[in-house]
Amino acid sequence: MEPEGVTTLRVERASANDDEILLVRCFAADSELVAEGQVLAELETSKSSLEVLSPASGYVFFCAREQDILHVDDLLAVIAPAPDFDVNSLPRNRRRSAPEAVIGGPRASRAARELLAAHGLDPRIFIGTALLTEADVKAYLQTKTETLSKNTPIRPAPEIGQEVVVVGAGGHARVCIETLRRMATFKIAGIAASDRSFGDVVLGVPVIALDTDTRSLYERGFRFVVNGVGAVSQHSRRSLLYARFKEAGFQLASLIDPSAVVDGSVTLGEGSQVLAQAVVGSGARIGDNCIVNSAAVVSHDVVLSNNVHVAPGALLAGGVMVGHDTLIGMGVKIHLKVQIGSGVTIHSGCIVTRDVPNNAVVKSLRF
Amino acid sequence: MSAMDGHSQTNNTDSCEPDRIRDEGEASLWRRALLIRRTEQKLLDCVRKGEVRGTIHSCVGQEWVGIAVASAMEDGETIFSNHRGHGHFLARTGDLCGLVGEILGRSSGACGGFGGSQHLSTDGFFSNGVLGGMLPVAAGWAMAEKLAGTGRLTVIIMGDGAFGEGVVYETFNMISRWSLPVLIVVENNHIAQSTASQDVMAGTIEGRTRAFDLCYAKGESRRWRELQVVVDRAATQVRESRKPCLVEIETFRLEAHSRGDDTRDRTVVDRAWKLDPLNRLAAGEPKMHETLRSEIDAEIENALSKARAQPAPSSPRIDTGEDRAETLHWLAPDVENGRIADLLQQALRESLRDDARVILLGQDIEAPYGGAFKITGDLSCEFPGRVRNSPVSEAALIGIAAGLAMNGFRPITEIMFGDFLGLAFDQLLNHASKFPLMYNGGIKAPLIVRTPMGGRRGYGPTHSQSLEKHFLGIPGMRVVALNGRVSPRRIYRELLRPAEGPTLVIENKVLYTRPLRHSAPLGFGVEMSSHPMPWVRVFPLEHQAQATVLCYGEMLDEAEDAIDRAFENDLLVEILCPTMLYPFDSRPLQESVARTGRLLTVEEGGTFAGLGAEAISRLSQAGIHPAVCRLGWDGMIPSSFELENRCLPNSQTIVQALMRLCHGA
Repeated sequence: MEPEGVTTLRVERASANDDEILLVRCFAADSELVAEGQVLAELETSKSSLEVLSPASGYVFFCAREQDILHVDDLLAVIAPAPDFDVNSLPRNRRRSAPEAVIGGPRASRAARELLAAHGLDPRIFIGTALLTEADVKAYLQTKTETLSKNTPIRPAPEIGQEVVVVGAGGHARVCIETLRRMATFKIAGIAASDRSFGDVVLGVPVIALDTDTRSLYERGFRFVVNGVGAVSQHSRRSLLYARFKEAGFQLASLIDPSAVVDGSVTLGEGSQVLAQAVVGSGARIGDNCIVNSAAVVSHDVVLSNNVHVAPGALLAGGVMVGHDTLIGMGVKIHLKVQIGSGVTIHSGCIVTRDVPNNAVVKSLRF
Repeated sequence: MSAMDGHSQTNNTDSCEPDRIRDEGEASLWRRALLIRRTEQKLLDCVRKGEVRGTIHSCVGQEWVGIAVASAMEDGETIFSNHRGHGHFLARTGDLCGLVGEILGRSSGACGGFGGSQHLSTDGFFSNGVLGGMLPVAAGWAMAEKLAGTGRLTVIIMGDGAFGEGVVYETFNMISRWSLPVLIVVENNHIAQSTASQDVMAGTIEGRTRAFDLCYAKGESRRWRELQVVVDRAATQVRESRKPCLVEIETFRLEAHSRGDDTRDRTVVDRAWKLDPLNRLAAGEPKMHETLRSEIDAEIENALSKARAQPAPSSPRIDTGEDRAETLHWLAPDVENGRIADLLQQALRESLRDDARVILLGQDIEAPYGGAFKITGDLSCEFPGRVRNSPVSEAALIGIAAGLAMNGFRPITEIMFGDFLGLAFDQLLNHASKFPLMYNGGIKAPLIVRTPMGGRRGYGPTHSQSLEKHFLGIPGMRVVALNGRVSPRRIYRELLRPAEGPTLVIENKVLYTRPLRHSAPLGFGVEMSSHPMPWVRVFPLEHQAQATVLCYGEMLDEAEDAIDRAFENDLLVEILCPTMLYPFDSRPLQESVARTGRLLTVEEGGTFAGLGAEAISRLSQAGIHPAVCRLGWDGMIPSSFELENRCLPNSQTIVQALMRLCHGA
């Protein structure tokens, strides 16, 4: 049912051979006042270009973006009587075999979903795996019963062969690309960058999108990204990108450099990165979107909350706990069981022997 | 043309009188004609004694045609001949040992013993055993000469029997309209194997020739002196005017069609022997004849002895697709953006741009129409003269492309609908694919034939079929099927590498408007094999698949949707999709099915004796015996769009088949 007074504009069949039609250009912006007969858009079939005229006067709202491939009978635009029309009230265009978007966990089969629900399990405990069958869940339940372990073991070499997009084009992105290549479990499809123009190439990887254009990346079929923004000087940017891509339905891939030593009992959150020569000791728990940078040592039973960056060469002794969004500088040493707050910055080379409150900046070499 | 007009020849006054040689030039021609006669008679003798197997078609009585044509030709010019071609071969090449060795099936033969009597070749000479079939090939060869600006003539000799075949008229039209420098020589001996031409031919050869606005001249093999002049004048005119001409030569076949099958009135044949110029010369120059004959007979005996001492040819190479040594790797998939039609057009553009030998031929392919499916678009404007509309003549078009390819070009032809390939089947089966093999590697014919196949467009029974299975397994011909993942640009880069024979490229018409796929169904991975024409593999990540789907072409899209949906039912399935259908390397499939133990083959065309059936046989031969299910459509394709969609395999029927295969339900 169409809302009152709204005129819909659908993609018409232009030739026997064109089931799909390309939206080349839109000649008006959303909520712009257009007149009947005004050219609204240019469509392209395999045969020719077509101009689409507005069927009525009113405020136009497009239901597709430039360069989208639309199917015959898809909704192209609506002409509304008022500029505050809610375009979300319209049914969405169907997508060819659109896979079910899964946020924060693997793709589960119907039976697996039912089983998870029946046991009150969050699919996110299976982060790092791609597909979850009923048999996988049963196996997990079996293991859980046997070991009574709360931890999800790290799954080595997940998502073999999946395409991954690296977000960022700077130094940390290059580190991520090289790490991905050493891991050889993902295929690097391209880079989503903040300001570089398309066509730039970083270590042989082309820039294929802006990092703001998550929708287009998703529609092009990408599901995995690696957060390649280190953002030591602007720590919040890294968590912003993480949130943006999570919200858009992506899974943030975790990295463990083959030269890193990560004990089997460690838990590693989504999108966290353990880089070359780093050591993560027994029982350590690392949250989402963390970086344990090159040659850092995160000893046994350390807990890192989300968005923690442990810079190269830092050394966290056993039982240290770190709050979220904290940056631990290069070569920092933190003594046994010290607690570090959230939003903290510890400058390079500091030796920390006592607890640090939230949002503190530690500059003195001995704190 | 009046001087060359048939009527300028005086009416034949039959003469049985002895004839005399007038000069050295005539003596030389006589010697060669006698060589042909004595060779044919000796070969007939070899057939009678069982030394030559199969059969031969002797040209006894028709020797002067080859002599006149050879005399009119210049160095570097090319001649196409037919099943009765020994005389043409000897007249043009003089290679007696090559001919005798070939007919005896020896490795020293002109084609190493692979071609035989009807399929002779050496530099600039090609004969074949299908009557009218070589005409378009000769036309293509001539077109290459014209495009390259060589000024050379191409000659084809056909019999009157060829005038019953449609491809002759398709080609008459094209050589006339395109002004191709071809000299067509018709040996009219007025008889087929036993049927008199007048019983089965309406009108005249002259009338048919003139209907196509072709120049026409006439000669007679008994008037051999005049014949030299007639043919020579016609050849000169073709070279100078760059326009084709047909010379009809009245002649008489003195021996049977092959042997022992002569049903003609003996008195007519006996009279012809008396009128025969070689017999009249023998009577007029008895001493000279005796000397010549003994010399020639010794030459022939010598050639026969040499051939007998040679071994039979070694086994021909068979490309099974699996005898390659290299190990297979799986690599990252193609990541190009764009609709398949656009990428295909880009592939053709790059082919034209990067290789000056590439030429595009097809119906309605020039701008502004740009092809029925708009694949060629504006390419005719970007590359003037290299993208050409052809008439609706599929057989001649493919034959011309074969001739172009043999003579150095890389033609890419478009057949508007794959359903029309049947019209050109003979040109692919008995001509283009055979040339490199039966001429023992002496020539390559790397033409590319593109054609849209498949249904889901509501085009009905004769415009919707998937006929590729009928073209699989033809030795020397590759069959490639585009799919939704392998970039057409990559395929054409590969196709334009040096190749031996023709390649048929199947393009599912529903693919054209779809973008090249990048992403896999969520939770699945995609890889491509290291083959030049890769296999595509779509597989569940981290999980062992329970079944394998083999598909190709557009069915890959349907199969991907199907395994995506099947996962919801806890079915883990992987897909294997070859790009090269023939020769067929089944190793990736073997590896997969050995793991999964279940195979579903999906093809849009009929399953009977199709790729799926072949794949199952290959697995079985390799000792892999999976549970199998086949999906395809074995009926006619109905016109009703709804019914068509119900008939052809789709993701839903694939899921159902997978459920049956894995759960027996």
